[in-house]
Amino acid sequence: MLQNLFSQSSTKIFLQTENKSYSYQWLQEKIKKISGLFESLNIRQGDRIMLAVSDESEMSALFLAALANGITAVIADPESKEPRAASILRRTSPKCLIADITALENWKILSTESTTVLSYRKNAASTGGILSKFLQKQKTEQPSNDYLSLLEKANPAASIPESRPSSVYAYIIFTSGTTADSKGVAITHGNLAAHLATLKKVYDLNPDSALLNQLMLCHADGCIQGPLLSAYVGCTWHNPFRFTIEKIPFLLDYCFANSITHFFAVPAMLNLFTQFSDNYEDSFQYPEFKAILSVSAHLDAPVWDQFESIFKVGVCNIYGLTETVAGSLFCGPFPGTYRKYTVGKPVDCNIRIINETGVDVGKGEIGELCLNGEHIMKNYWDDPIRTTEAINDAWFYTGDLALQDENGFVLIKGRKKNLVICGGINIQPEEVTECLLKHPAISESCVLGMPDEVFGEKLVAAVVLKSAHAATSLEIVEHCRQFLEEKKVPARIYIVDALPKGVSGKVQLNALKDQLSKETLKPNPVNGQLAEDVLKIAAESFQIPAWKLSIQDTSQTVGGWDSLAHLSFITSLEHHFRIRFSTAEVITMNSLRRATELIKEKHG
Amino acid sequence: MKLQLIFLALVLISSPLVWQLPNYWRPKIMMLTTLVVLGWFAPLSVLIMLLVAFLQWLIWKNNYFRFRKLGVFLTIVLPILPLFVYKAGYKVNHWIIPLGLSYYAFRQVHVAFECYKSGMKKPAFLEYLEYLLFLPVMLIGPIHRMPEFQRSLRRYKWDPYMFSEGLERLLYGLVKINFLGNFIFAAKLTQLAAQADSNLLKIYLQTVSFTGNAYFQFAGFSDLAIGMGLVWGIRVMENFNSPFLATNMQDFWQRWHISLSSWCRDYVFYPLAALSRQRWFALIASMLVLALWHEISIRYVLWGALQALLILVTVRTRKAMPAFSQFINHHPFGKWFGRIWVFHAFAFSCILIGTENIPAVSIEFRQLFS
Repeated sequence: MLQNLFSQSSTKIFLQTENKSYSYQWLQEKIKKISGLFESLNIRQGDRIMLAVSDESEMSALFLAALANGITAVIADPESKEPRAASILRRTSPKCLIADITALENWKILSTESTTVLSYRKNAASTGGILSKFLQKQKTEQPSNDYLSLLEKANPAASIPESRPSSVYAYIIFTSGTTADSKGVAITHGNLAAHLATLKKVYDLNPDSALLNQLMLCHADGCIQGPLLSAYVGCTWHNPFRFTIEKIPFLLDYCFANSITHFFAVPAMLNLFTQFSDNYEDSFQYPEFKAILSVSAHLDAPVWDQFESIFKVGVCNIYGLTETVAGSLFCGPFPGTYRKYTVGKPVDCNIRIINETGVDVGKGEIGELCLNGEHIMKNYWDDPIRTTEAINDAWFYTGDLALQDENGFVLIKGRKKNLVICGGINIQPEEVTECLLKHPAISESCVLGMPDEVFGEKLVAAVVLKSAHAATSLEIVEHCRQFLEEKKVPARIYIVDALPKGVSGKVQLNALKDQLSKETLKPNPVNGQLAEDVLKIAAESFQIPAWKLSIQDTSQTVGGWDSLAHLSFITSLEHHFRIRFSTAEVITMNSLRRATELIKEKHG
Repeated sequence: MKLQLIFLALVLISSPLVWQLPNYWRPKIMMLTTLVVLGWFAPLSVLIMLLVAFLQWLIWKNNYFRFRKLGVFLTIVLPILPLFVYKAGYKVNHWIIPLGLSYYAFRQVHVAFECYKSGMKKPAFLEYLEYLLFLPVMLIGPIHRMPEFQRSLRRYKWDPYMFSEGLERLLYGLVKINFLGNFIFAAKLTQLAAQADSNLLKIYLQTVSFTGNAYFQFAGFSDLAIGMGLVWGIRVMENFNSPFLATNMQDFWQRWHISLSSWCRDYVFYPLAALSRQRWFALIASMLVLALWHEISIRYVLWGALQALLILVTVRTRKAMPAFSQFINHHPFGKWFGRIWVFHAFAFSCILIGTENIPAVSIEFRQLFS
């Protein structure tokens, strides 16, 4: 599985960040060193090691070193809160835990007889300038459990095992869930090897490929389709910087400058790209470019259309779960598997779509999607009941509702299981509900996903307060922050008098959604009609038929948008909406979208 | 021209090194090269540029909220001050204008405005200098923009097509300057004008010669600047877009000396229009700034006002006679009428700036129409 990693030339780049290159030679030496450290800590094949390091280069080297030695990597989010981290630690009993020092401080975890705890603190000398490197000589003594100090002292391993038994667990990733019911997806080396071969084939990867993947390494799509896939193929993994909205132009330029061949993104990222793409439309127009790969969440048709029309490249939609390593059904890049708005066809696996009685439904009928293949996880870690529920007769029940069309293309139609996918992150609502109910003022709560233009779904919570208790939504959010990672904190808390329930006493989600949507919709004088009015005024000002204009248009794309017409447009907008733009706003208003945003802002 | 050729030789010689450099060092080496060359030929100019840039940077860095408006005002006015002093001094005392001052002063104003508009993050001193000290555009523009320059650096990768396009543009530039400008329009057409029997024809040919030569010289030097930029791997904005194919004067000013006309649009027209909501006032002011950038004199004031008037006539005609405007701008024959009008309107307006003073202008016009 990792032969390519050790056969690469010393100069070949493994990881490229914004300012630093890490060669395969660096990776090979690092893995040998880490292996030496494992030996010194008596961690052997089949043992488990828990990893929660935020530094991409260090985390990827640790993960690959664990895989190379047949040690099971238990991957955790360094931003996890204490109860979740403690639960993972308790359930997997790793021989060693290596985590960010800040995470360890939050988790209050110390070494025990069975688990050695090592803290990772980014080496100041590696990031600072000459002065800080000089000053490093006077640094204070590192604590005895400092991972980097121990690594420095460790002797490199004499050899790395050439192969690992396929039944050995490669890694365990815990899905979202309450402390009691989060599931540890246990993937074996056999599952992993099978799926890596599929990904290499489907994406048409070779050592010259340049993969850009900025997804978090504590998630399967980050660690598998980033460092591992690159090392497997022997190509370069690009992870220039943490993804933020402000960095989108830089990211698009980075793709162009570095001739990225495969770009991995969640739909929310693709959606944001479409909104910040003015003058960046040619970002993927170079001969080496091969594919945009949308992973982790459902790709909505409007985002798909908009992205393709702006950037003039096709988007591949990948369907997969943590339980299937990364993918299973692929819509593209091969023309044979590509049909827009679907998740394509299964590759190297079989599918069934079944009804509630377990019988296959016909073409065009909706049922639960089941998968069968070598890449499907062996089991949920230490959880035979849930394993039996999910895997039956070698078929994995995804919990997703799907239908297959006449040509074999699969469309995802919904979810059977209760799950919110917000910007590609799976969130089990029960985990958030459990946290909310810890609040002394809350008697009942229901957490659900509401449709969101950018993130696909937005996590919201409806809570009922206990009588004679008071709490503001801000206080409740603060409470959530103590127990949940930031991405799991509800975007909005609705304090309601009661939750709508059925006769059985179960909360009726659809009724609640309707109720919450009504509360969200504030009367806004400019909503609805706004875009239409802006287009109409633009058409009059720029002397262009309204049907030729869209809200995406800019001063560059509208022929008649010259400086004189610009002022006429501004004054017409001011007159129509009874607002006044500032000088800076007049100067910077160079698109119809910007005009719309400014009007919205002015109307509160 | 001699200096531009020295710059050209330097760019060509250093280009293999520039392409090879790591991303971090590339802009710094380009900046240092420019600093050394410009410092050698025009130390005073470098001094003014560095001093103004440093003062601007100090203001950006210490952005005290209470003095924000004053800070914005100073960062905009500081670069204009030496430009105004030298342009006025040139007129009165025949001072020599420091090399490239007209261009880098406007670049500095552009950055100050963009920082004010918050469209751009306030630059670090070093990155600001990297932008200001870019050899290909030092002498004769274009007044390129900082975000585009930085973006070009971010997108940098070896591109043989860009390199060969650069060489091609250099060739076009040399042909435009030497053959079309110097030989055809300056030498041959002037000779032809001298031989003309009628005064009208003579002045007409002289006017065509002046305008044609001005265009090919300027477009040629812009090609050299753009070509040098491409040879170093940086794409600089275009300065001309076939201006004499414009069918009206408004269109013409979107195609002629684009970097200056767009500068005037963004930093004179829009702010004044936004403040006053009077577009004609803003138009006249921006055309006057555009004219006075060339030279501070009555002739240029008149020339600028005339350009504003021609644009105003274009806009009014479009409203008053839509069918005629449609014919001129869209009909195949109409377009040629438009182009002939644009060429002659611009060429004859250039009599104002092609002669030494106002009395000479009036003599020329009298001879032309008598």
